[in-house]
Amino acid sequence: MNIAAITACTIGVAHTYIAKEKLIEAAENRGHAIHVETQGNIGIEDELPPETIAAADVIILAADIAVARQERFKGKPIVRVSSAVAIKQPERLITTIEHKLAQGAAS
Amino acid sequence: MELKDLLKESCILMDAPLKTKDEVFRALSGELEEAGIVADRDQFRKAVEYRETLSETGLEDGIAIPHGIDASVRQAAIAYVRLPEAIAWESMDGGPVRHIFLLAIPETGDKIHIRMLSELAMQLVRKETRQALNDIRTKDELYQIL
Repeated sequence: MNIAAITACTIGVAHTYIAKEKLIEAAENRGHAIHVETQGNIGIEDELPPETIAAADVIILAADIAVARQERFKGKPIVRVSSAVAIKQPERLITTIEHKLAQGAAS
Repeated sequence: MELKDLLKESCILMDAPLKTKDEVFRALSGELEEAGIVADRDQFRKAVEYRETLSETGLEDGIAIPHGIDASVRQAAIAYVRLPEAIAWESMDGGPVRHIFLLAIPETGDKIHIRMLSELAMQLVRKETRQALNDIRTKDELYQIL
């Protein structure tokens, strides 16, 4: 599947980027395409291109704070978790989403 | 910008026999103040302790990256301690911690250096780095693997 994700944490220096690293590793291990935007202390990096969002089967928001510019995801299935979930159990997160999407029940 | 500017040699403590999280924070905050990076070690330490209350800063395989964002920080920097024996720490894998990278983050500006701290955090979750940390003997070897 195609995954678009955003990571963000309270301080915006460490966990935002670790969550990104972990999500990419887990998604690629499962054979998925993923693009992760970080919303950190220094601002937005690796911003999700509109075509990536359009092509995404799911949007993962792994954040401990409000994610900026969510209007971009209108009509898309969004999965919201804390950054800790993305860091600690990225594989389980990805496989759970696989199952949900297969059932057409992601919301 | 060199890694040595971000992680000063005086802020690397190899095999310091610290026994608790509090001892670690006091030692590393002290080194950061003496290196001129932090204006007030106690104020900075309080910011680090506050961050600890939000979520665990221990990663996997005995590595922790506590961090504090505070007005007392003059520039983004890191202090590191390798402990002779791992100590109790709230971590992602539930295990104790032996390598502690304390990140000092200024409240404003300094984006380039803050970006470098983030890069380092990402590097520390990679398996090669985690394993290499246990084998280093000197400060130079630490610089090499980072």
